[in-house]
This record gives sequence, structure tokens and C-alpha cells, in this order.
Amino acid sequence: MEYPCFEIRGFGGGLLIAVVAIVHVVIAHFAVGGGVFMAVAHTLAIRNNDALLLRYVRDHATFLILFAFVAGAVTGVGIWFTIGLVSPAATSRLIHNFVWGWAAEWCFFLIEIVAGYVYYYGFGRLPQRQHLACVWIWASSGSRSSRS
Amino acid sequence: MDLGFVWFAIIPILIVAFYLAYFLSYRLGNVLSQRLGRWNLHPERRLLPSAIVAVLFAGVAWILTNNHMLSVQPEAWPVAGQWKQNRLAVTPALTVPRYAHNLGGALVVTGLWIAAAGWWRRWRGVDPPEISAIIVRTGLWTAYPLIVAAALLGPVFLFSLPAEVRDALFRPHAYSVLWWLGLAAVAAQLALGFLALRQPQEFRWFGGLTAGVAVTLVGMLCGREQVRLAFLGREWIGFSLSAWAVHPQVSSLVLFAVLLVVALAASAWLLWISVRAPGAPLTLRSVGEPRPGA
Repeated sequence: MEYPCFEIRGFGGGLLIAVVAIVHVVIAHFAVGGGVFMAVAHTLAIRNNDALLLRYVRDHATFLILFAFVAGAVTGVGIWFTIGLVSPAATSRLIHNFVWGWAAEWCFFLIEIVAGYVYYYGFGRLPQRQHLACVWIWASSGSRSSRS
Repeated sequence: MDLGFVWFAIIPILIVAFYLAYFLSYRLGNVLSQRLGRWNLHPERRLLPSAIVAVLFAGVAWILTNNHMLSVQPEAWPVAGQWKQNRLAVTPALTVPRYAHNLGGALVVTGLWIAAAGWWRRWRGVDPPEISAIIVRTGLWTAYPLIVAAALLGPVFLFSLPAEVRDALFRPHAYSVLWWLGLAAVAAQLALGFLALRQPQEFRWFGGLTAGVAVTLVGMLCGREQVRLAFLGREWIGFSLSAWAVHPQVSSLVLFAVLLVVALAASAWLLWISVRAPGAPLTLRSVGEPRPGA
């Protein structure tokens, strides 16, 4: 049984994959770097007792979560939608070969999402050490997921 | 309109819907963030964005339902020109009841989540008990009428399905037994939901109702799998799992299993520390005032 393929006239399928993938990768890289930046900035703010920096970190967390956990996550799914449309047979082959690698990535992504939200809602609630642990877990799982 | 465009539209629709939902959330108060939103005192302003969010998510459900309908009619795939046809409604006679079934089921689960949130807030002492009771009742009143409707209209929907699908569901198989168990659980839900509405202060009724709905959801999934396997086994497709060449990827599988345990343990710990942290009381203060402890 052959799958039908999707082709936008004058634009092509490959270019569609490229557009969606580039948007996703830019956001994903920003999110990974942003997580590490948050962890370092939060640690410095605690170490130097810098309330202003801590306030900035909290506000930046709002932006990072909204940006990475919505646009980043959904455009990630968008890549699957795009390659599934443009080349279903190739996508099927990729899944057959790499499914467990992606499943492993998903594990890190799960940790990243949970840690991000717990960290975000932990301002003013969590003890300092646990709050710091959250942001470092967020940063490390984010960088792991991007390497998978 | 090509199905591909409609299918791909899910991505931008979801992004807009999620951001609009966040926008609403940030215009309202949030206990965990210790803030009062600008729209807490202007509930009428929530109407339009709420309606748009609901329409967008319902639209995604419509696209997914159509996709599902097409997936169970693979004979339509290779027909020349089929993909250029309007696919906003695949076989409408079947799509509409299935969509209603999907949406009704989703709202039952939504109602149970609302009720669960009410119980949670009651245990945590976030609200006065009478406010938590209102949240629990709201959730139950969202879920229960739809459970009753599903019990009444479900058989109509079942017998409107193509004979081939019904045959697959009624065929003796482990999956179809679980599907029947899921249907039987609806009877228990009718009784438990009634009791939960009569005695909303009793958690056991709500817990039983939630467990019953979970059994039904698992049963529906098993029914879906049973139909899928039956369709794949059709003569002209000729697919069978036993004939499929298997190339085990043991090391990757072990890596995933280990990481899954790590991920679940890490998530459990993170949620545990979040649950144990004191819930911040929502205080009435002017918008823009720094949060306590900031």
C-alpha cells in the first residue's frame, strides 16, 4: 500500500520541512541555552544575595516557559506532521530505526517540562535548595534532550 | 481543500489556542503565583477569548476525528483525486456522531478534572470549604449529564457503525472483552455519579466515578486497537504482525527503559516537593504590587 504524499505547488515539500525545522531548532536552542542561563543566574543571585537578579530570573522564567513549552513543543510536533505529510514512507523508516532513541529523548523532555513548571511555580514557595535543584534539573534535562 | 493543509493547520491552531489560553490565565488570579489578575473584577471580558479558545480546540478535535475516519477507510486512499477533495468532513453521516462522542467524552474527563481540582483545593485548604464544594459540584454537573447522554446515545452510535467495525468489536478477543468491560463500567458510573451529586461531600463516590471512567477509557482504547488489527488483517491489505520482520534493538530498548524509570522518579520527586511546599494564599491587593517575598 502506497501512502499519498503532500506537495505544495511552487514551494515544494522539502522547503516546508526546512521552514518548520528551522523555526523549531531556533526555539529549541534558545530554550536549552535559556535553561542553563537561568540556572547560572539563579545560583549567582542566591550566592550574592541579589534580589534584583532573582526578580529578573523569575520574570525571565515566565517568558522562557511560554516560549519553549508552547511554541517550542508544538513546532517540535510540527516537524513530525510535516515529514509525515511530505514523505510518509521515509518517516515510517525513521521510526522503525530510531524510535527508542526518540523515546529516550522524550524521557528528558518529560523531566524538563515538569522541572520547568515546578521551578516556575516554586518562587516564594519552595525552600532555596530545592528551588535551585529544580532549575539545575531543568537546565541539565533540557541540554540532554537536545543531544538525543 | 487538500487534507494535507487541514492536517497541518493543527500546528498553528494549537499554538494560537495555547497562547490565548495562557493570555486568559494571566488575566486571572493564580494562587501559586500569588497574584490577582486584571480580569478578576471584569468577568465579562473573559467571554470572547474563552469562546475563541474553545472553538479552536474543538476545531482540532474535528480535524482529528476526520483523520480517524479516513484512517479506517483505507480503501478510499488510492482512488485518484481523492486527496484533492474537500476533507473537512469525511463521510459526514459517520463523522458527526463520532465527533459528538469524542467531544462528549472529553467534557466528561474535563468535569472530573474540575471536581478533582475542587477536592485538591479542599484538602490543601486553599479555599473555604464552601468554595471547594462549588468547584466539585461544577465538575460533577459537567461530567454526569454527559455520562447519562453517552449511556443513552452510545448504543445508537454503536449500531450506526459499519457492520465490519461492529463485527470486529463483537468478535471474541482479549481486546474486545476489555471493550465490553469498559461499556459495563458505564452502568456503574451512572449509579456512582448520581450518588456523587447527592452527596458531594463524600470523596468515595467521586473516586469510584473517576475509576469507572478510567476503565471505560481503557476499554475504548482496546476496542480501537481491536478494530485496527481487524482492518489490517483484511485480505487486500494482507498485513499480519506474525509475518512482520522483527529486528530487535535491545540496547536502545534497555536505555529507554532505564531513562523512563529515571524520568518518572525525577518527575515524582519534583511534584512531591511542589505539593509539600506551602500553598500561597491569594490576597486582594492592587495589580502591579510586588508579590510577597519578591
